[in-house]
Amino acid sequence: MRCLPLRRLHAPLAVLVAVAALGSCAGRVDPIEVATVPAPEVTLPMRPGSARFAVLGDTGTGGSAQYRVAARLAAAHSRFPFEFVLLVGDNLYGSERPRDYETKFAVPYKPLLDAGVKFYASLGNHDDTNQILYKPFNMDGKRFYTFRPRANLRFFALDSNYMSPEQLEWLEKGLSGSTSDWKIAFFHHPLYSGGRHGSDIRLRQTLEPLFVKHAVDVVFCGHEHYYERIAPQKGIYYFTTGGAAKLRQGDIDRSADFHVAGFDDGYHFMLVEIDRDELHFQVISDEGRTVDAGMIRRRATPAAAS
Amino acid sequence: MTSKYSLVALVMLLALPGCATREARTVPDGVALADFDRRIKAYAALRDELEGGAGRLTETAEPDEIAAAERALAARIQEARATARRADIFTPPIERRFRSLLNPHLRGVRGQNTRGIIRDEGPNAGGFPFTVNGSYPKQQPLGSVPPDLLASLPPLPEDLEYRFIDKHLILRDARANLIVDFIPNAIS
Ligand SMILES: [Fe+2]
Repeated sequence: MRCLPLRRLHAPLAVLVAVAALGSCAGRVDPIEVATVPAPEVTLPMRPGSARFAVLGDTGTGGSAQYRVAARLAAAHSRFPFEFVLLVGDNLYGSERPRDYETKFAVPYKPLLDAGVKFYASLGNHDDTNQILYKPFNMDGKRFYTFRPRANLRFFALDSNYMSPEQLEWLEKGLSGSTSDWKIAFFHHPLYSGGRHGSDIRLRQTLEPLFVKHAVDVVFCGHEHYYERIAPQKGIYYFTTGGAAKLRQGDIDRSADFHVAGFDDGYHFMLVEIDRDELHFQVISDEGRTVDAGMIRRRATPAAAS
Repeated sequence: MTSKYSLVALVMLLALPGCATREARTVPDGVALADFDRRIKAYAALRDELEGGAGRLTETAEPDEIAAAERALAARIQEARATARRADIFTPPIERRFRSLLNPHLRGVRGQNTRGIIRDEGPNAGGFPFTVNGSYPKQQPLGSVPPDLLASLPPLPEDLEYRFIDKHLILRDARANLIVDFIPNAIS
């Protein structure tokens, strides 16, 4: 069967039709009426002029959970119009044929892409390195890159699969030269984790001294298929958000001394808002329920996440 | 013409391999690493030259173009290196040097940790069949390499990388998605 020309369809209808069509094309996705997914309650401050973004991890299954989370995220966008999305890796699981870029990315996030939301990807262990050439991932053809959506905000996307001396040198130079108030890093493998993969100690030994030295504020990772918030480590806040399409129920070891909050009962996504020295976050399940929320104050004042 | 001759020269250089076999135990480490550097740069030069004809792909919104460019480059390399075999680059003296560089990362608790990271969501135990000049299967994950281990290995030209398939260290051409050479049981 020939797949439908999705790009020409009206956004919500396109997704609905696409999901139905993919049942035949990909053979494993059930139809979901995206248009009927209600927007979740969004409680971020939503202050005028704030920077707004979402964070998704371990997305690229092309399965019904990915589509469900994507639909909820698109619904959330109507209430909380974020400008961009960070992808913390495993953007395309399994095969990476051209049509997989469609079924595992372009189709589920079509309403957001059509609304002008930019995606910034990092590479996970399931990602072919040539994903860097895919324009909608905005990686500038590089495995590690930086962008500055606002004068006070700089992001560093890292390739944690392959932390080469070249990448570390680039990172040190970028961090030391950044004059932005907020420095945020995102990559795939968590430095602190209560999950089955556990903390990547060797990566931590390599990256943490740089993060501390150059005052990185927040780090977003994936790889573990759940949500976890880590107690500030040497002044840095870590979030693991790898449950936007895959889930390992009951996987979080809540006895770990760095564990603060977690959600491993369902899929999720993160919404983030930065207003001057405050970073607000809200974690929402695929069912639209808020499972964690809080505020981080930049290091100039004592940090506090609620 | 010049281009053709230089290609032939590069292919010949890459085909030099086996001559070093009997010298495995006598080549000094520095010489082995210099030889590795020469061989890997020759490969990269060949790859870049072959890519020159096709034009290097830049960012595109069309995944078809990415796949087509990768396939075209891989086909050219495979053709130019049709006789490539294991140890063309990791000659015995170079392999011996690499094993000594890897060794400190494989002992005791640190060694367990190294193996754990490499196997954590990398290719499954036992890996999968692979060959020199063959593609890295897209459906297989690309396992992480510990940063300190990476730092102790010789630097590589752009878009060439060290990876592990189970216990085997491979040299992967990321642009063409090809396995250039490998050291079997490098971390066994
Ligand atoms: Fe992963």
